[in-house]
Amino acid sequence: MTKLLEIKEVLKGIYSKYDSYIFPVLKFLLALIAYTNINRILGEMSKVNNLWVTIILSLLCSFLPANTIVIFSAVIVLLHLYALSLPAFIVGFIIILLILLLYFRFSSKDSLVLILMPLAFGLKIPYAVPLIFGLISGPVSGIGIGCGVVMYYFLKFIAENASNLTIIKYDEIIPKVKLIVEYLIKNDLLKVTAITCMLIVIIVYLVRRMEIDYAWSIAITVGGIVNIAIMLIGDFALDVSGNIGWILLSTAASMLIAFAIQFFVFNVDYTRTERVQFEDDEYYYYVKAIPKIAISTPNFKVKKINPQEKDKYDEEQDEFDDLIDLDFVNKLNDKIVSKSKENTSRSGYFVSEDFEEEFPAISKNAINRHTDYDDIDSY
Amino acid sequence: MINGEKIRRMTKLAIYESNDGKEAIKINGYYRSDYIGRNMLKTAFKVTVSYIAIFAVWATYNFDPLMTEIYGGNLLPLGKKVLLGYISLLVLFEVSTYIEYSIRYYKGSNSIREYDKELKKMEYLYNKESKHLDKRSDAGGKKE
Repeated sequence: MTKLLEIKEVLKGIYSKYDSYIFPVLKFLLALIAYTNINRILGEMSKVNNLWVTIILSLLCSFLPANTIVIFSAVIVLLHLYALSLPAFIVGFIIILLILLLYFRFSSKDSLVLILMPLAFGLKIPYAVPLIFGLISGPVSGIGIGCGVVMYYFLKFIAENASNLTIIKYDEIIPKVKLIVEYLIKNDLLKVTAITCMLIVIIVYLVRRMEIDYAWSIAITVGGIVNIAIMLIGDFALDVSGNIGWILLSTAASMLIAFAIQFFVFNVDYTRTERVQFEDDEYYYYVKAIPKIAISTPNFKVKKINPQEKDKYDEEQDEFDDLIDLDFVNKLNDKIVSKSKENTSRSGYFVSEDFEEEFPAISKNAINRHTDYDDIDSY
Repeated sequence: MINGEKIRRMTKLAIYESNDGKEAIKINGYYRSDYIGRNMLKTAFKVTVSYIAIFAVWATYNFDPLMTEIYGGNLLPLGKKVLLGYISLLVLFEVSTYIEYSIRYYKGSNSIREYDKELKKMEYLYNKESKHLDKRSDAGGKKE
């Protein structure tokens, strides 16, 4: 365990030192993965389905706010859908419009779930996302996760039925739109998955907020169990999803990822380096403020890797020890102890004679009470 | 001369301004009712657009029964249903907007109070410094 804690300290140092490079690189990678996947699944429009376009867009995302990744993906998806078939474009446009208008309004910070959710589905670990967002975010991100699930199933349907959806005449639009909407409305697997994911977010969040030891780990475990339970119920009641072994495996993998991320990322409690600029009458200031690293959890045993210098308190203590006569202090201590033994009542607590004379009632009470405690102890 | 104390304070203020403070400073420019009302109006607009979109999809999905109903001339019950759906969606979103933005306003105005205190301290430091400089310039000697 100490080894892991050491690694954590090192990681914390690295995060706060290089965060101005780490975040853009992460954003770039996420955007690149998202866009190549969209192109791989839908890649209908050849102008967008181009490595250079993907790389340039990802580079743009690396220094723009994280929401840009979501906006760009939405645009890419819509372009592909437009090239593929008009009905698919109409339904896709309305879904994205609803997400933008109704969901972004309240929780624009968690918008990345809209990207992460389909990606996690692609990696066969969809339940890792609700577990992680239950840990770092609030129950509101559950709505975003639900939207992500809908988006994934919609894109999956379009990709699988691409040849079915192309239209030649305009009066084919309405039946095709109907086909897509019917799939989205009547898909039980979609409903079960979306509800499971939303419930996981809420439950993990509630457990994580409880004032118990290891709340985070318990939250992940409970989330995993809830996931399996609901999927099994859905499996029996609605006859969806089928493969139970697969659900178990995927949930276990999701939980492992959540544990790993919890340990290496969220527990490090790191505050980021800030770069600010301001001016006064005389100067322009360009300030880089690096947070001091402090170990915030007192429960941890901190292993001293290097022998540390005596701190100020220890030095003062040493000086004090030099000044006083230790023998004398010890003798005095012995005297006090023996004196107190003489005056000790039956219960073993020291009560001064003067005090007893002055306040007989109180001291008697005190003795009695102590006696009571002694009785309890003896049991 | 660079004043270390001043830089420390100004850095803290600048960090606040570029993070949590951004929203809080914006909030501070509104009365509570104006801020919440403005956002409720925005929500109303967005809900309306969304509802039209949802209605369009629904109408496409139920195209044939809708057409027969329209040709049958029996539009009142349908209109009532549509209106009821719109109003319930609107109320749901307006209530959540009200709660959300009340909380935001409360948090924002609390944090801006702390920010204000720090600004006052900065002002005090500035005044002290400029007085000190004035005194020096008044110390004597020939003036231009």
